[in-house]
Amino acid sequence: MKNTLPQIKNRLGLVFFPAYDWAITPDHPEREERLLYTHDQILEEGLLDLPGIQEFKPELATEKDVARVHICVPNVTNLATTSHLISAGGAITAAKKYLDGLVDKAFALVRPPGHHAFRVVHGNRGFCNINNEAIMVEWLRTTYNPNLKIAFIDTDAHHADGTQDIYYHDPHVLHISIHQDGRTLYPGTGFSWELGGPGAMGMTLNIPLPPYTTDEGYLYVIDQLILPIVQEFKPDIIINSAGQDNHYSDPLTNMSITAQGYARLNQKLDPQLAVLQGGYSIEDALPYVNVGIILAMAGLDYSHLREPDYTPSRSLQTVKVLDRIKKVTEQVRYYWENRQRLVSNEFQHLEDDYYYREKQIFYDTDYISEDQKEIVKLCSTDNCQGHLFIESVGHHLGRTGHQVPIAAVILPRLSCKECQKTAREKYAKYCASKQFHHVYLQDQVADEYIHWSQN
Amino acid sequence: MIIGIDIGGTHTDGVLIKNQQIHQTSKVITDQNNLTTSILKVLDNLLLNQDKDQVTRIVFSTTLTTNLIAQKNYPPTGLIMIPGPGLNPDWLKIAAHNWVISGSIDHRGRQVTAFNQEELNQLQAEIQCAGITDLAIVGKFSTRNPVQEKQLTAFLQSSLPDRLRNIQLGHQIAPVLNFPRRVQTTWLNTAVYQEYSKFAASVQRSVLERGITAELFLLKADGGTMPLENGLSAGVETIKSGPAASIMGFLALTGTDNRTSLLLDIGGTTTDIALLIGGIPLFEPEGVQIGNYNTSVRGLLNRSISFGGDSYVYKDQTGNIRLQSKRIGPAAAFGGNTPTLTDALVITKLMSKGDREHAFSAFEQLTENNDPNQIITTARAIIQQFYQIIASEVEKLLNELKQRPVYTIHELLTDSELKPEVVMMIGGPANALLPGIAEFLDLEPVLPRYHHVANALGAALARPTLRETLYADTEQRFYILSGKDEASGKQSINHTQKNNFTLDKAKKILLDYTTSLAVQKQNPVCSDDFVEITFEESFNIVRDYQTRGQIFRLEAQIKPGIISDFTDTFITKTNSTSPLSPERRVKP
Ligand SMILES: [Zn+2]
Ligand SMILES: [Zn+2]
Repeated sequence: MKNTLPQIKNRLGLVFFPAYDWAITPDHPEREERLLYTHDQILEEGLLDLPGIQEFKPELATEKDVARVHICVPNVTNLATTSHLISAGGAITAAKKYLDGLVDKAFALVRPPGHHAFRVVHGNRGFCNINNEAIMVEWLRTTYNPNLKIAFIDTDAHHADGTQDIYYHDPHVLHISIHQDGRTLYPGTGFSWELGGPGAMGMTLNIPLPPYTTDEGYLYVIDQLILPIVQEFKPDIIINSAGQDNHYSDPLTNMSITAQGYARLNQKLDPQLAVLQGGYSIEDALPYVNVGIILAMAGLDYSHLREPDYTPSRSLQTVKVLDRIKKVTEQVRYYWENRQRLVSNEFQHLEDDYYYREKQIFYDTDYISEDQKEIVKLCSTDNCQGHLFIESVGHHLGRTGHQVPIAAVILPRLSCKECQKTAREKYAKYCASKQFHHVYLQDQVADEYIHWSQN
Repeated sequence: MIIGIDIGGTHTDGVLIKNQQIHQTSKVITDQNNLTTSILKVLDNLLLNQDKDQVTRIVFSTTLTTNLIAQKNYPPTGLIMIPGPGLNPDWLKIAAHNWVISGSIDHRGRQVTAFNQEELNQLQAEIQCAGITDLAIVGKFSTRNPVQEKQLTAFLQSSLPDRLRNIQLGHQIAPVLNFPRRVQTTWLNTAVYQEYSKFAASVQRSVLERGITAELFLLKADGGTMPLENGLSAGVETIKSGPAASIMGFLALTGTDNRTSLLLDIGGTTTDIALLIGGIPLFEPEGVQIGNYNTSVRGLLNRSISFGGDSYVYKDQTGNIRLQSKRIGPAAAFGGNTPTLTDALVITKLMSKGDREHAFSAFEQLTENNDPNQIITTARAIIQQFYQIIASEVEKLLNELKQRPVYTIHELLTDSELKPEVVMMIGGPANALLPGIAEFLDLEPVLPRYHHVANALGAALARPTLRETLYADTEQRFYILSGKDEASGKQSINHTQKNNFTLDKAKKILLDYTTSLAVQKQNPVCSDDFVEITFEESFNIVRDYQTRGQIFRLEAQIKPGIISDFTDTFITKTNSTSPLSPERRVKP
């Protein structure tokens, strides 16, 4: 007769918030019961009774927490509803419990997700309004240590274009997105040549995988590419943006990962923090994948976990697909190893070490098309991250057909006195120009977020 | 006449209620080896010169199950698990004989893997070989579909006729989600079955032998009663009925006080902490813990700390005088040798009984100081230490409650913080400690009358409780009611009903079912007015942008409460319009 509880290697904090009273629309994949079956599975497995696994209630992120990351047009209140603030707040709670030493790891099982939300937000795109994980990281850096080195590993099947955008110029953040090839899936980006801004080349890495990648192919990338890179980068915190739409049963993608694969990849990545992203096979995948991630994070035996229709052959990879995966791996490794010598061809060199690019962003849910100009300063002062000017026009393609031109000045938390002065002057100039409906100053140094409106 | 008997670890208390008043009380030492003797002693004391025919109801709160589990006093009991995929189930092999067999049900109650007949044959041979008669069968998600638990039972009963006298099924004993708790609860219930039957039979027989024909009830962990014969199949529900009796005692004694109340029950070695909100006790979120076992038995929320009147006072290595969470013997003021918290109360004259000189000399020896003023100061400090211990435990409990998760935006935004307004205390030193602790916690003190027999009174006046659930899945066209009745289990929704099976319809089914159970309990106090829906959720099942059906999840209950006919007598009014007699309320 024994009664020895399963041994937990890592104390794990869970922030579980299924938002049972919130949906984008009644039949949208991002709807009330998305985490219902996951919840049932977690309860039935009795995971919350295990000593060392602790559940925490999410807090609400504040307007300032959001403004630290986003330029919300017209303002935070209009774009971030309570559900978004709880989801972002849940990520903050997870980080807080980890940094307070209450747990060794934490998993924010919250919805709606955030990784398609860019720095500038004109509306909802890819089911996301605000970027939960970026809001969490900026909260961490503001509250604990501005010098934190962060590695994001985004394992959602879709390219993490939003998080990539927010950290494109930040040399302290390594952002790795592994996803289904953009030529075959929304949002159509995330090619290996997207490597970061001129001041942070190689700090953005994209690993586009062919459709039908299985556990074998995925774990090959983790072992051969990601783990050595992360080891070399030496981050203070590893964050897994844990999307679950790579699962073989997901209705929106064409990947073939199993719950076992998810548990194993999480165990290998060994993240301190994980934040849920997409995943819409809510009955056949999510219950098993989430339990797998929880078991892996806590360091528990997950060998008995499998989907009802799992067979070991599901984990194997055909030679042809594996060859393509190996080629992508080589390509990305080459970029990483030569990152000091890379020259950005996405950005045009202007005078005074300013760089320039234009991009177009489409908001599928809210039907908005955005034209954005990004002007980034590469500062020669030691440890200065320069500054950033953004001019953007949101074309609302719906019935109203109106346009919203805005400008924003971004001052990263590590910027020199000179940059701070230039940025503030630019903000005043933007306001005076009368060309924009809204002008924003995101001053992370002073933790001050200002908004000027034409009327 | 009504009788309540609380069989505690050291004492058995009884109270006889006649003409809506406490007519007689009795206290004897509990004979742990023969609980029936203790019960009969109390009964005889209570019924001296009374007309036994007038007794209509006797309620027992007993530590029997708790003791059986603590002493591992049960026959070798088997456990068959059908865990399906998930967490490695090896740690749940808590029985003398454990089997893990294949077969599985998923979260929507669909059978995913069927049994393997060869495996079943092997299992049957092994059970025969083990020679056991008591067996628990528990499947994962059996609450969503009990088919495999039932199928296995039928197979074993037909292949091993007459051998298995006591088979208990997880979906009946623990009908809420949580497989490990279902395993532990069902197995414990199976294990205590034989001893419990003996106890119930012996109590029934002895009561009858004394010519008493009253209905007999047991108090459950949730502060409700069940008929004694139900205890046979639900023995595990009586664990922790002691603290439940105490909370129900508070409820009986303070009746209509609807303020948020902190309850302290101080004994010799422990102090129990509980809460009443709007006159309703709180439940443990998942279920009651007993020893190392986590069960899904619904129980009243209670935190026990190992400090009480007999906690002794000692000098630590740095020379500080401290209160220790142990009992060495009785207080010096009451014939012991070691200074205790009670002695500190006697020294500071908070307690008028007891030998004050003895208390002083015990403190003198410890502090090596015979200045009476100095000793009084030390005694005060010890009492303050006790207040501090209580205060931090209360804070911990309130914090825990604050962290209780919620899953909707609405709940998160409307969640309000719990703030007790009054503190109520029962137990030996309650009189002496209440004013001070109330001042320390900045709460209004309420000292209930009859606080020395609160537990027995709580048992006597508790009414039946129920908690039943309904889970419906209209896409798969079934619903499941919790419980062991014929009406419970999986029911199908026929094709024509499918579209009419709404949340309201589900509610009605659950309310009717719960009410019918309440009536079956044959208790006049249990009218359908008491049945309430406590939880309801509905979800659309959407596939390919089409709604295929709904999932409904509901819970109904009869919450714990006091038999209404009797409350008035015991109310301690504390509202400002009716001034309190000093007997009822102590001012700080
Ligand atoms: Zn995705
Ligand atoms: Zn600079």
